[in-house]
Amino acid sequence: MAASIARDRWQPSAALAGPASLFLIGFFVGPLLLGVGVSLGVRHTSASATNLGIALYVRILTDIYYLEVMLATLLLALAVTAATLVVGYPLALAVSRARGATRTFLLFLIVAPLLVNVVVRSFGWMVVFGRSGLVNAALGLVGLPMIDILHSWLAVGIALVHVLLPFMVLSIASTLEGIDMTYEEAAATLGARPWRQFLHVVLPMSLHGAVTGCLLVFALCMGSFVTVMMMGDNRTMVLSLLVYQQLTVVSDWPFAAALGMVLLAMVMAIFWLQARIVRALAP
Amino acid sequence: MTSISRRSLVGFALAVLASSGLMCDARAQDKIVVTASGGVWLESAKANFVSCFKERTGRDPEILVSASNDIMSRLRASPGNPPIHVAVLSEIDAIRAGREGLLDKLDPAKAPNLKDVPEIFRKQWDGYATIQNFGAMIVMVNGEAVKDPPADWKTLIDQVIAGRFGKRVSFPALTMPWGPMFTWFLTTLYDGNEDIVFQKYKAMLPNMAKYWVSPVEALNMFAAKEIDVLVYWDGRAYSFAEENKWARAYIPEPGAFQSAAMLVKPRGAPDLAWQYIDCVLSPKAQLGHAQMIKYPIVNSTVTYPDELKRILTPLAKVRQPDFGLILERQAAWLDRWNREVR
Repeated sequence: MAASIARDRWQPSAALAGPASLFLIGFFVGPLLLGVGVSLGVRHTSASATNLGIALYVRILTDIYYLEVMLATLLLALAVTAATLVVGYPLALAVSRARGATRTFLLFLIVAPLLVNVVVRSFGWMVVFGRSGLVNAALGLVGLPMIDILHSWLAVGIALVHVLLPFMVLSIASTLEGIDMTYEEAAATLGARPWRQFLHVVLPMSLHGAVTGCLLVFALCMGSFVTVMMMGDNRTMVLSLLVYQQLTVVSDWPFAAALGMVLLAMVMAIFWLQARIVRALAP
Repeated sequence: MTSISRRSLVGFALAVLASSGLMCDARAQDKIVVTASGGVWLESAKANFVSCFKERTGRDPEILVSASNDIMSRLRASPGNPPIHVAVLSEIDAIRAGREGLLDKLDPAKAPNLKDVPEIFRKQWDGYATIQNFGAMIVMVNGEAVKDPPADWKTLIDQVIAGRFGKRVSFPALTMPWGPMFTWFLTTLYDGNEDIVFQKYKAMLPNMAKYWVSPVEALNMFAAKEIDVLVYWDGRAYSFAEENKWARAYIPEPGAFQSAAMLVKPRGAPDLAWQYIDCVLSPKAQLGHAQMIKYPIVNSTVTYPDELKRILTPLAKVRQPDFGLILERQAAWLDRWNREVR
């Protein structure tokens, strides 16, 4: 009797976890399995139907072109993550120490890129980097020669750092805000100068926020293709753009799915490696 | 302590699902969803097609602004029970959708205006689609910087390679939706030799500001005078040149390839969809559409006014791509494009 009553009762913990689990199974695990199935299934062309098996994966992993693109994708994501960390950390420190209107203003500045559509944002960068854009106009004013950085890896990198910066800054700032100021005061009392206080107290205690920020920025960067397409040119190829091309130009779903799975595997591998490194470095 | 029984929760959820399902079904029966491109295309759809449909049926269709590849994904997700009832697709997607069984054959008995659409505008699609309007990719130049633009495509390409225009040129990339059709057109200029076309693509690269992937991006580059030579659609190019006296649009010899918007009825769409299709192809709506978007239309009974005739690319100057060949070759072309043109 008691057991039956308990069964009919609302179980808050299970009920709360249920929707999220169902959502993940339905909208993440499900499509993922579907993607794997499509990449291993049958490819239909106007002339024939071919059983693919692992053929597409073999093609991707043995073709020097795709290996080059994978390397370029990885290097771009690592470079953008590193640049975002370097630019974002001081900004996060400033946000965490600011109060009142200054803090609100800083937060708005940081989040602003996310409020603008990716295509519009890319056009904005074109206005800045174009031949008659702001950068070249400024260079011209001081008598320096024009530079041509639009449609290059550098332009892609700058645009990605700009849009992904909020994820890094907000991750680090939230950790920094959780650090008890008395630790720094204790270090100061013991004679540590501000730089040493930062290096030995603040930095180690904010590492988790930095790691979270790096993971977010890296994962988002690995999947970015609109910015790469708009700011880059024929030389700036990344894996996610190849996926987009296969879907929109030739409608080759199996190959697009296989490329997508390789991209996912790369991200998971980096996450695993990062987790190992963080664990090894932890005191 | 308040508690909710599992049975009552499930009952509530089922009731919500059932009522929303009934509402969706009711909605589906008295409303059709049609697609249009954005901007002036959407305005034209409202002014010409929707007004005709409303006049005939007393109903307002829901207009969805969507791109061809997005529409294809939606049709593939619900074959036989489409969320879109009349769609505008790209030429290649219309062929794919027909072959994949996603479309109904267009029936002149249900959309009588189809009889006035010449066969050339339907033949390659096996009756699953008809061209609604078409255009051509032509050349737009900055008349202040380029006084005597090349009269034919091959000379233009050779002059780009030779650096006559500096790095101030933009051609469409093979990776934009009509890129394979442009590549097909270039092969026709070089006796069907793909190797020469890819050599030319590669040779032009150092003097190419960018092979454009987005039409908006291309026009912005030209409008900002970042480039002096742009290969672009005729209607938009003529409109731009009309508003900006420094710009000039022309058709290099021996003409241009046909770039079309394909009208289709997804399989399982309600009969009401025939009325919309018939409206789109009606003489009045077709003429109104041509006047608004400045592209040629397909109803053979329409006579263009002189001011429109002057700027529309004549059919004789337009080559319809061989879509069978493009479908067969485009994966290989994309691969060559990615590997060689960089």
